[in-house]
Amino acid sequence: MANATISIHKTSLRFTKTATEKMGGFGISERSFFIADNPFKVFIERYPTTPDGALSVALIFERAENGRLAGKELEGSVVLHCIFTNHQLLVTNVTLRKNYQVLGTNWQREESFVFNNSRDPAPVTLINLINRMTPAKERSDYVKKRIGSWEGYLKIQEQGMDIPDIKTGYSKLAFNHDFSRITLTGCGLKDNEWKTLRGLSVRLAGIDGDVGTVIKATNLSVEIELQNYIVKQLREKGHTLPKREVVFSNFAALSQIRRLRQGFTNLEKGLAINPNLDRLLFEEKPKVAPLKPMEKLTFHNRLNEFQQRAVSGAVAAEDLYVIQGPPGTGKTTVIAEICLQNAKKGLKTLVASQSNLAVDNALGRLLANKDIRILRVGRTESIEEDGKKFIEENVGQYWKDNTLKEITAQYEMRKNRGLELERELEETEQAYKELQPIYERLAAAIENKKAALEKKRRIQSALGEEHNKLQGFEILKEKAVRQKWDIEQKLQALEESIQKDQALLGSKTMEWFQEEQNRILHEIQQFERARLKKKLEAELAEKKLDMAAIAGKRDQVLAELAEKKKVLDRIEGTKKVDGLLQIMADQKIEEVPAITYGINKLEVNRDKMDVWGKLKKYNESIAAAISYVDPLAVAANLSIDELKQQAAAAAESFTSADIDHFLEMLREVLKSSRRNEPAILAKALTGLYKRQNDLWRRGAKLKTADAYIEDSKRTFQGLKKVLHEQTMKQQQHFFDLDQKWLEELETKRLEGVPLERQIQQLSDVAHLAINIDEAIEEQQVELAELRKERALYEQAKQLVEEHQKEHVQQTNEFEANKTAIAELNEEIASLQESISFNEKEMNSLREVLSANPEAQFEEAGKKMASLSFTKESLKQEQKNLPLLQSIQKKWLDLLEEANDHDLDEIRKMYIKHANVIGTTCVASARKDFVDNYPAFDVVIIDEVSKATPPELLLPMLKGKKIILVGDHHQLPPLLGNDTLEETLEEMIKENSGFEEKRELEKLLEESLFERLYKNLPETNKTMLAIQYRMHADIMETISPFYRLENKQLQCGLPDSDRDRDHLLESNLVNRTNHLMWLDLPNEPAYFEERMSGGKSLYNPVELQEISRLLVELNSAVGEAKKAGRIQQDHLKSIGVISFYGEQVKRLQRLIDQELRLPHLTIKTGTVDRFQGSEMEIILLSMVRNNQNPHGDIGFAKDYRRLNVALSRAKELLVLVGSSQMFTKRAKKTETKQMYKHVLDVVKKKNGLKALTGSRG
Amino acid sequence: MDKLMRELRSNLLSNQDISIIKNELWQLPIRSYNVSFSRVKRFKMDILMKMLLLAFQETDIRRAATLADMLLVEELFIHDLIGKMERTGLVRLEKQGYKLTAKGHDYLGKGIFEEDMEEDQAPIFYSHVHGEYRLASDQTNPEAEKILPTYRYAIDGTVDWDEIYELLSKEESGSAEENFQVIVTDVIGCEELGTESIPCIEFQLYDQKQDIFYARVWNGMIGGWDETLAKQIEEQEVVKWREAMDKQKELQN
Repeated sequence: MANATISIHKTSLRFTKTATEKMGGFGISERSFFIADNPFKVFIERYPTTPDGALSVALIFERAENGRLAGKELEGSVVLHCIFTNHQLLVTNVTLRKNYQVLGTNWQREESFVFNNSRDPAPVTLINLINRMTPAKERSDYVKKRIGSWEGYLKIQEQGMDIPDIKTGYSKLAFNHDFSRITLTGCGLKDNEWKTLRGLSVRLAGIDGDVGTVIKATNLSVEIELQNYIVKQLREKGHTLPKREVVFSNFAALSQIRRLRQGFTNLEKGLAINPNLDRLLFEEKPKVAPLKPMEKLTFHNRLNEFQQRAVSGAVAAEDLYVIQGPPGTGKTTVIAEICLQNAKKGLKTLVASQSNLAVDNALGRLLANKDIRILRVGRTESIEEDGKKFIEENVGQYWKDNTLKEITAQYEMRKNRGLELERELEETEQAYKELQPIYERLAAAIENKKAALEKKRRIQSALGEEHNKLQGFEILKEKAVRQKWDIEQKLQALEESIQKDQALLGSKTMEWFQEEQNRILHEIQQFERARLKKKLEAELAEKKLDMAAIAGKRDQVLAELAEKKKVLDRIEGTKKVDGLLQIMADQKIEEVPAITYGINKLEVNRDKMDVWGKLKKYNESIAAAISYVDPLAVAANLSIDELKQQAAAAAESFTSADIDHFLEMLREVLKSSRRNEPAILAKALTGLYKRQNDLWRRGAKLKTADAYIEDSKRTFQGLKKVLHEQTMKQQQHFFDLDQKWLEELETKRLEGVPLERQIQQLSDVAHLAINIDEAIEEQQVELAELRKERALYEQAKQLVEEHQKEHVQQTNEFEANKTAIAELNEEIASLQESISFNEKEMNSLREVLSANPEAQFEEAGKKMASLSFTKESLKQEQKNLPLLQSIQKKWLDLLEEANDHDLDEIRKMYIKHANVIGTTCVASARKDFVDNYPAFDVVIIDEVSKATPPELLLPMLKGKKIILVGDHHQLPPLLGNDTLEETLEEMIKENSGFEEKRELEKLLEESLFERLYKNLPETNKTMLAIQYRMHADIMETISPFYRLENKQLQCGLPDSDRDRDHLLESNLVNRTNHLMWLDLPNEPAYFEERMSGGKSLYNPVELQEISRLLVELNSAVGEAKKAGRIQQDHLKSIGVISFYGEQVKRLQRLIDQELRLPHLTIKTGTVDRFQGSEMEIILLSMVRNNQNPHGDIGFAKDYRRLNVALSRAKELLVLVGSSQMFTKRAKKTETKQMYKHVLDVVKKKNGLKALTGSRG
Repeated sequence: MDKLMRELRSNLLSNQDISIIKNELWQLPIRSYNVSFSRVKRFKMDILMKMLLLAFQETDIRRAATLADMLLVEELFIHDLIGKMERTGLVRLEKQGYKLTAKGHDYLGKGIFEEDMEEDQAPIFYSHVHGEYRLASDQTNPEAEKILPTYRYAIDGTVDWDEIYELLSKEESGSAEENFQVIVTDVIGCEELGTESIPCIEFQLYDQKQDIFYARVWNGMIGGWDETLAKQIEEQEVVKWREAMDKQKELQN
């Protein structure tokens, strides 16, 4: 709360005129601030900075200071409103703050002040301190704004609440069949009052406390649902009430809302125990303080790794820790363990929850431990069995029972302890005595071993030396032996070599070598001559061949000459150019320029003659045409001359095609009827003359044909002449060639003569003619061999001498080596003898050394010490035993006899020192509770997701540290009897004019727990991921709901089949079935129905099926009992649950009225009401089955509701409903997907049973 | 009796949905005993304080922790209590440990001795069907005017002395004069007086609107609706009643 500081602020203080005046009004003098015997205790509260930027602050004096300031009591605390100007603290106003306003909120700081009236500036530390504070208004505005989003919850509950109490008489009171409700008739109410009755609490004259709540008020009767605890009282007194008077009141509900509102206000005012609670709750990322270092905890419950982490984390967290606990994961165990850990540390814990049941469950699970003192606070009548023993009037008894149990156990155990002790003591002494000599023997053995060790070391060192020496000698010996072998090898080689060489020397002489050489040289000479002869003969033959060839060539040339002569004659006789060209081609006569010129000229002449011919022909045609047209023109009175002149005037040129065309046209015209038209004629004639003129002009450029002929003849003669000359030139060339060959022939003949002579001289070697080269080579090889042999011979002679010398030397060395080896052998033998002696010595030590007396000695020592300690403590115990026993006996007797009165003192102390307090969220804000327990070190809230944020806030305000336990994948809070959705739906339907509908919908989406869990750092949260409730098959259906968490949900049962065996066998259910779906067709006969005039749905076929199933299960349990699988007195617990209240009502009626099921214990309830419970078997009636176009499945679409429904069963879960409806017809894909997963698992586990089959 | 029955009938039938299918009168047998017991008068004294005084008398104890270990009691409690005893001058701390003062000795003496009181007797009824003992009230039970049949699920049993003792401890103990309490110490004798017959009125009811059968039994001794008896009958018979009605309907159709 307040941060008390030791330091004292010393500051000057000045007052404005206003302030002084106001102070005067309260009877306070300025001087009283400055007479400082003791510092003033002041709460400072920062104000928002003034518009001109001055730091503004309020100094609030504790009321106890009023005496010092005013000399009398005042109506409240004195408040100085100050600003800092020129670094001085200036009081601008003085007021009194009402006494009921709490001091020391989180927005204030408690400080000590000493004031003086100097003009010194205020200390910097004070200014900084204030500067660092958040203005109280800002903090509380912040809270107000954030908390606004929670207002919706209260607004829903506040609807139509401001009703004054209604008091009236009644004429009759009637119970319903099971006394759970009463109906009052004959109430004298006004018309408008009837409407407001619903939900009001009811008091009856003559009965203490509220009897219940109005659930229906129609037809002049009021139906009241009774509180459980009032039923008995009422059924006994109901008939004899003295006065028939009833009061309908809203007081209880209103005071609850008021408490919730007070929670908001307290947070705004900064009255939370944890000064950062507002930030933790509202910041997007809650700024939690770092954890304390984790300590190693000793756990008192058996916890799995996740539970251990949750406990360790919760213990180490400074301000906030969140535990996500899916169904059956042992949340309560975790809470119990945290409470115990806290108790051990001397911390006080509040365990709160939305419902009494959850609080009692959690407390019931706490271990009876003397460190932990549990107190259950709340209205006794609403506390469940588990919590009852912890209420104030029972804690004495609880304490007595536990203490008695423990003392008895100890006392009984110690009864036989005296004799036991004597025996133990004797045994211990005996053991000690026996151990003594062993101990001494071991000590001697250790000495012995030490000596042996010394000797061993000595021998070892000697052995080491000897081994070294031996090794040296052996190396030397090895070397000598190797040397010996080498020498032997060498001698042998020498001897062999000498022997060989000497053999060689004995076989030949030097003279023989000389003779042989001479012989071979002569042979070679003869062979070389023969080779020369052969070569010369070949040369001669070649010459002769050449000469023959030359003669042949001369004959050819002569033939050519004759040919050329014939050509000359042919040229002379040729008359045409073509003939000449042919000769040229035949004789390959080169076309010299003169020839080219002649040929071209002939060609030109021929062309000109051609043109001339053509022109002549056209001229004739045109002339003929003119001669035809002329008379026509004349006849047409055209002047020929004029036309001629016109034609001549423009000289044009025409192609022959043009002329042909024109003539053709003309012929056409002349054949036509227009032939006499003068214009045509004139045009024709002009055309004709124009062309004639052109022809003539062209003709004038040419010579006559004859002239061209003459010229051609001349040219032809010229051409002939040139050809003649050319042919003559070729003839001359052949003459020259012939002459050349003749000369060459002569040269060859002359060269042959000396060759023939030489051949004659070599005729003596003619017999050697075959393979001369080979023979020469053979002889030369022979000669080389001979020479080599001779060299070897000479070398051998020298070698023998050398080898003989070396042999002598080696023999000497061999002798020396032999002696050395013998010496070495001797040395080695002597060493080996010494070594073997030493080794024997060592062996003799081994036994002593291998013994391990040290460990035994140490052990014996320890054992003796422990025996001695045991002896002492036994003696001590023996001494104390009678006393302890006597005291405990007395204590036991006292406890056994103790009655309530005897325990009164204990009870008071227990309550005073209670360190685990359990209560509901709302009760934690009751006045008496707040007075008794203003603050807790730790506040644990269970089932957080089931409480609304305003409810949660109440216990949260009270804790330094807050631990939240819940599961946002299960259902959100109920408002009254309805879910938030239902409430909202109803409000919308009633069109109640509630404007914040949108806001409410937002509330539905946001869960405080979920947001905190998601946004907290890993260190401040844990998910308990191992569940122990459900058979693994059942768990599989809900695992997708936790898929997105860090950890996957696991099954902690070591063997599901064994640990969750339902032991039943029936037509429908096998021992192996743990998850089933009784599938109804999606057909009208199986459809849901609606209550006439009601909103809730039910399904008659499902009722029938469940009835059938219950009967079957009942007899299956009977069978199992007969077979000895189930104990005779065991009742199988079955929960029959549904999404719809109406169906539940009908199920309950069915079970009460139509079935007798002695082997079962059955509870019915809506899924929402079953949250937190578990049963061996669960039957889920799904109700929805229709063919509406929307495919609406109502409340069943909320995955959290499905999660709760699926996770209640331990051994067997049977869904009864139409799989078609839920997996195919449902509106949303994710809904279908969700149910499809369930169906898939069911199918996988062979649990799908179609109804048609079972109905047969 | 008839008047009572008429009254109850009309009360039940005031709800128009309800019809009485059967109405019976029978008697519930109840055993009646005369039990004698012993009592003592005892000084009111907190047991832990008594224990501490005894312990200090017997041995030397300096530390609260030592006692906490011996008695298996929270050290805090012992600490608190020693403090209180020191303040009130019952004990003081000496060299060896805490010692009783003269006042302490005196006080302990008062706490230890108790004064025997005269034996007392009480009449007790026992209904085995209810498994319940209760003190017989002074008023006489309404006697049945004629011989009624016995309750069809009546059973018989034997006396459980412990339960009688428990009942007497609860009912017959109490304060005597200031600072003293009276305690029942033992049940000395139990004389069976005989069997009383409690007349009971049974209604078998049918609520047409809700299609529900149920039973109501007026217990003449307690003068109110008896839940145990009604439950027992419902448990055994409701299903049969329905079957009978269904059969009847079938016959009518």
